[in-house]
Amino acid sequence: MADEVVLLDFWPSMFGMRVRIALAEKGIKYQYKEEDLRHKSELLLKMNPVHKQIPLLIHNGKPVCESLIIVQYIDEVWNHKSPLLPSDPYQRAHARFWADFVDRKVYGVGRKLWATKGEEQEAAKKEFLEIYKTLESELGEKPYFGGETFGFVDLSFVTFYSWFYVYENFGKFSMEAEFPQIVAWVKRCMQKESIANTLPDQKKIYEFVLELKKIFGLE
Amino acid sequence: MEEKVKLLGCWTSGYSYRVIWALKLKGVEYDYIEEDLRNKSDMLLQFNPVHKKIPVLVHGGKPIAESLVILEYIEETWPESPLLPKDSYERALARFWIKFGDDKGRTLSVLFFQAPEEKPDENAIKEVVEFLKILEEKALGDKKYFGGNNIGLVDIAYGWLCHWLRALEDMRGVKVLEPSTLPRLHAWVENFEQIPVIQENLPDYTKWLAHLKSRRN
Repeated sequence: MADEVVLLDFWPSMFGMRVRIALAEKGIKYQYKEEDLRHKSELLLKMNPVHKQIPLLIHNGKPVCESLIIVQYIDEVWNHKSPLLPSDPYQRAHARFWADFVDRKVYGVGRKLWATKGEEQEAAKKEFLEIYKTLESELGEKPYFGGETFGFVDLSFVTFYSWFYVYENFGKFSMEAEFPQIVAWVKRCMQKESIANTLPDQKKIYEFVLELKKIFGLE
Repeated sequence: MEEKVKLLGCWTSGYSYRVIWALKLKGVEYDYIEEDLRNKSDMLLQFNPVHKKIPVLVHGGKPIAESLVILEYIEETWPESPLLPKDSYERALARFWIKFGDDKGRTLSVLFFQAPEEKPDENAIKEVVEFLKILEEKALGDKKYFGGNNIGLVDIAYGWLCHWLRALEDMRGVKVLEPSTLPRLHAWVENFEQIPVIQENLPDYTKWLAHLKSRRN
């Protein structure tokens, strides 16, 4: 029986992008459904009643929520190629720790950077620089966070690349100047088809944020 | 030869107990080191430089931090007495509920850390009740435990509810877990606390409550 895979998503979401990359890495055919987050579909509300959020993977009618949980699910079910997590338990723990760090720290501070002004924005910028410094330190001299090959932590973080122009613009700094190793790592990742074909153009994301600020009166 | 296992923990922390319960349920021998969180040891700072928090599990000299990461590590390293389902979909569901609880845990702490003379935050209370309702209806359902007939990682992850909900009533006069409104979850708390490993590894409630009260002042 053929697998039926559906992804409910929202094109600028770095969380959704993680799932799209994972599906591409594994060569999984799926149906993509774009959600309008201000008018959520019946399907989304029915399949994710607790959070009503994207990304939502529906595999043979059964919903899986939360991007990193979806990625782990994909890795376990389609385990025939392109492993996304290492096989060694200690390395897996290390990967989970850093993916959790990205989840808890990177999104929030990035949002504060473009959504706030004045002192709040200054504080967000300081926090942003600290968090990215920690990540750059963790990357070190390795080609990827996962070591020699692209892995779970890389997947959890690389999707923020499409938002870098937004951060640079509102934070008034250069990612390349502040974090040369992270930028080099991103460029390395972008050589992978699954990533280059998934990540939206930075300018498109910037325009999206300008629209968002208008809509929410955050100008 | 089995590599040594060390746990850096704190008797007041629910996160710490999650790890203790998992280790005990799997019969894993370990050395426990009590951390004074107001005076963190060099060992803790060395093993968890990013967050500087407990619990930290050290296995054969290699540290693992973040309680949920530790739980997954324990499950993978000592697969006997499994705490996660074998089926990938069921595992994804278990992970979802674990994350749900952790994300909501922060709301509960708002209620605790208000000043004693302040009236309990009505919105926070509503959110807690809503959260417990979802847990009962969608996560627990008619099962004895979140894990089914036996406890699993989801039960371990929610174990902190037992003491915290009681403390919410004692400290803030807020009673949210009534057998009349949340019968199945109420029963789960009772069942969970009866499990020998849990019973033997819970902080003394009175002592813990006193500590919570002192922390707020």
